[in-house]
Amino acid sequence: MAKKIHIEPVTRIEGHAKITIQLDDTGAVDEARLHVVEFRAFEKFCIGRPFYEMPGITNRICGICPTSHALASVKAGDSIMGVAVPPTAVKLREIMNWGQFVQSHALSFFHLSAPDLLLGFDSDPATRNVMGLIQKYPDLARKGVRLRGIGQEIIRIVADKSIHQAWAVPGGVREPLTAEKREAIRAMLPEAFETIETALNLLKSNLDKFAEEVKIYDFPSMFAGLVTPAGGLEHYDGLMRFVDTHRKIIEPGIQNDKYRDYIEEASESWSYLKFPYFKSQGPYNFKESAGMYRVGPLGRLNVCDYAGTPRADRELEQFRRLGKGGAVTSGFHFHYARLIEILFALEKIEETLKDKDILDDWVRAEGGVNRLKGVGMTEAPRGTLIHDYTVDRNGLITDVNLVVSTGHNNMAMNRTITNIAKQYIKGDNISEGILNRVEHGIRAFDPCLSCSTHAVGKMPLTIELLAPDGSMLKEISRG
Amino acid sequence: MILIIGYGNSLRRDDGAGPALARTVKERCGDGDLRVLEAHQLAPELADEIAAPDVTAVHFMDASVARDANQDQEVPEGVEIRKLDSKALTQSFGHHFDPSTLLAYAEHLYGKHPQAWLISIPCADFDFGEGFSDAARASLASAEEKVLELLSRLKA
Repeated sequence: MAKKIHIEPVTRIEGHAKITIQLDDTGAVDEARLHVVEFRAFEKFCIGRPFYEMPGITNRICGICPTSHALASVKAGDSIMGVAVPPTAVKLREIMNWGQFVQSHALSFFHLSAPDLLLGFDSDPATRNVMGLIQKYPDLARKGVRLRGIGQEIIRIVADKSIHQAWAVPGGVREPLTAEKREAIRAMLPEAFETIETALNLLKSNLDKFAEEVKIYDFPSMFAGLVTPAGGLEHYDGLMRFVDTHRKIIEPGIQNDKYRDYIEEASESWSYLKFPYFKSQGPYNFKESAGMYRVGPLGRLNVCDYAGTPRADRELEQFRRLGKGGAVTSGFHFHYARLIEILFALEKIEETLKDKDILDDWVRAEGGVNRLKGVGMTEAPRGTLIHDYTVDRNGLITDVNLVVSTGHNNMAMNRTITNIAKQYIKGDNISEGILNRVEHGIRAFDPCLSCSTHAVGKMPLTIELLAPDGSMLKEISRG
Repeated sequence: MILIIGYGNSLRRDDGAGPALARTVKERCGDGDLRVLEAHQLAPELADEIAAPDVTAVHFMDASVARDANQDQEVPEGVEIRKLDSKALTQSFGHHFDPSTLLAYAEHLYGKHPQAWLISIPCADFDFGEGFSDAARASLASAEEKVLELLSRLKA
């Protein structure tokens, strides 16, 4: 009889998700699914609010990437106001965003993934955690805490608060940078560079140990992310590029406000997380992964032609070799890409702080409602983030669509855990180590469920009634 | 110095009870021997704060889901104050840290292990929006008195 296996990590703040693994009659894995089962109505909640309040509201969606939401939101506000943001304000927003990349990627690598990567997937679960990591690699663990803290501190110095800042506003930023603050950031950079070089060398020297995982996580897909107009790696602004699994450009540069022409969002009855897909590769089909693409560190490094900073470009050159002429298609390399992006972010911070206008006090353009629609697209650490607002003539929000990074990766996350489950699970006799491997497939994407569940009005409710042995007795759907 | 860390998301109604309690305690006790931090969720760099040389005790304040929680509940379950040990848990794919893991960071990275308590505030409504349910307000009032009593014991 077919059976289902459930893995249910539950977090109150970040959302409730579970993984189900469907076995067929022979006991082999048929399919694995990531279910995001908590409904979140962020988009409805924002209706009727003034657009200039949106950065303050949306950056409270999440405790991990509030900066990204704030930036996507102020960019949508810039568009509604129809103003040109002063160049210094753009640079300061970028510094804050790179600080966000440093802290978020450091959290993912050093604190969440390092126990698997450095202690082993099948090591004793009692010590496969930060405690075990600290005991075996105390210096690296300490540096990981510091690096994440440096990213947070950069945000705090620039924006006065490390989370839920109100510094970035439509039209620019509230306060310029002072010379003292610039020097405070500069003083932290050498330590951060040293840590990331150490981590990169450690990961690269251990990659051979993960040949099996690299293979299991490998499947063809498109990739997407922002690039500069010249095709460089971009984290704040730019054009959205799609490439195929061979890194052939499918769409060279989609303007922010044209995203709906290329991306459609599908829903499934078993998850509140939407399933964006690339329209021209559709129609949407979950089973066939039609229109699937990946965003985030792996997506960005696959879509860009170059990074644009010396050290990151050297690392990117090495990284590209993994793709053997095409895209790097193993999701396991999200970790590697994440470290290269930290290096890039640190180099860009260093470079931008040298800009002759960085202390300029013209940092905010004023304006009212000059357009009734504004789209802000930026790169969050885990992928492309889109805030799409419609307002009335008074600037009150009448419609909101948020396309969040984790959503873009939804199909690919499901594909990844299916691959892992098929490799390791035979029948229902599974160990904790194997369950951890399935969870790691999700962790590699570093998803954030806080902000990614918002399929208002599209989501039928399905209740599954399972017998004690896990077999399904009845399914009830409505909506 | 007693470090108070109130955490939760104030945009999800009762989930903001932890920071709210931290603010209230600060208002009633003043800045004297307290350092009060508010956080959306616990993150590893808070270990630095816990391991600061002058910190002798840590109070984590967080909302908890009341048993049989519903928004109309007028009499919540009791506020729980639980002494904590340092203990690292295996991560899932979320980004939140639990208080015991932070204590483990402080102990094993910095050799500091201050006494620590988790104050759990039973709450009922974690939906979107701001403000507290009646159940949360009642829990907060109860928690406030219990925390003040604990603080005075610690100071004594």
